[in-house]
Amino acid sequence: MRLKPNLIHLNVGKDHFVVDPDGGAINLTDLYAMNEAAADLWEHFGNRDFTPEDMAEQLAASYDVSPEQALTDVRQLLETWNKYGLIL
Amino acid sequence: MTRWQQAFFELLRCGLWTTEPSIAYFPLSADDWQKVYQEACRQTVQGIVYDALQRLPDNLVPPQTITWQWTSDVTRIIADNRRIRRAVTATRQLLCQIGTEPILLKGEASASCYPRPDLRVCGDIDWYLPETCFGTVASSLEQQGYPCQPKADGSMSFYYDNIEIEIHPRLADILRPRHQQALTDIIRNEGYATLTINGDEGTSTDVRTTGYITTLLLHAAHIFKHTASVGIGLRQFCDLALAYHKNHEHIDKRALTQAYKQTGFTRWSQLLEHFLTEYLGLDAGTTASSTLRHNNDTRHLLQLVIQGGNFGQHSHQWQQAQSKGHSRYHTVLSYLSHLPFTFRYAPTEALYLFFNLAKGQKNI
Repeated sequence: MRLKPNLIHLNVGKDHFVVDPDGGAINLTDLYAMNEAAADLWEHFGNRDFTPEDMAEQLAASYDVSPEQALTDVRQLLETWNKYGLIL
Repeated sequence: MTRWQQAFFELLRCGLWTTEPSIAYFPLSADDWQKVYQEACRQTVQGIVYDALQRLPDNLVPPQTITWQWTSDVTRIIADNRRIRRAVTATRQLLCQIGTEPILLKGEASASCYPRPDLRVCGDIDWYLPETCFGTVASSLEQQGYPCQPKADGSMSFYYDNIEIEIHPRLADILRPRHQQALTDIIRNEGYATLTINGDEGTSTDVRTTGYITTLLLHAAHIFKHTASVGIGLRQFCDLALAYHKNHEHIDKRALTQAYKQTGFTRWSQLLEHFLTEYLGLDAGTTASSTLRHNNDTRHLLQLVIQGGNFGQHSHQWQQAQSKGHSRYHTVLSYLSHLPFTFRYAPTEALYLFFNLAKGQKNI
């Protein structure tokens, strides 16, 4: 899988957003807010193909979390991203 | 300046030059952050200031409600810039097919000087074409489904993808015939420059735009015209500052000084350069003036900018006049009230502007 291209990651303080400037009418509901860990994953896998396992490995390497928990969290995260059309 | 205004200018400078904000201006209260945000909107520099927000420490950023609204605004600005770039490419192609190579002015040409062009608030698209082409261009565009409307200042406009495309018969807002002739000579000597517009999926288009010295002259004249009439916002000063910064290595300072002199803008350009270094942090070494002497009028110019906002649209008088349908009357009053100031800096252009207004040209 791959993240949708042309999206932009913006970050002010602890707030991370992924925005889609090509997504038509833009308002507050079109901001996809993320926590820092999700934003790190977004930056890391921005322009390349990946699997949930790749992403879980990256998460486990960067944060104090077991590989099993990382995979569970990543699957949940990808489900949300998929729901909002952030993944191809 | 109040504390929030100091913080606003610090963020604006950091957005222009991609530097780290000094924490000396922070923290700000929620009310002050609201004022910073509103001022950024009034001056149409919210994208540039937002860029600097992203480099503030976590404990000094605005309240979340403001951050979210601001982020939404910035997304819209980026989206608009993408649409504008596509329209620049498409309308250039339209005009070239008719057999005319247009010159890109202002907006998108200015954006190319920004560290992040997508964050500059954009408006319409301005092309220059010789007036002799207007008839052919208007009829060809109409045949292709883009009817043109003539405007009071001699330009014409049409819409492409809901974006107003203006075609101007003049490159600059310079009115005195002797100065116009000087500008023609400067352009003839300098020639045009090429600007690469990056499009979608790695595509790019080369467009013609004005040369480095001509561009600075056009900015200075544009700011003068609007300062003399209803007002001007900070975005136009940012455009000028970045045009100096980006191109100074290509500019012969003596030639630039001479160009300002020949077009009657010597004193005005010195005031602008002083303003840019004092408030926007432009490196004085990139300007034409070898020494910038202290000038109290930079403060007066700042007051005009702060009071009026973008093209004077936020002044109390302008809003009142608009609501009562008295905008033309307000423009005349505004000219008269600014005349003592503008006359000191470019007297003949100030008078020509006023006489043109008196003659009834609405869009000067």
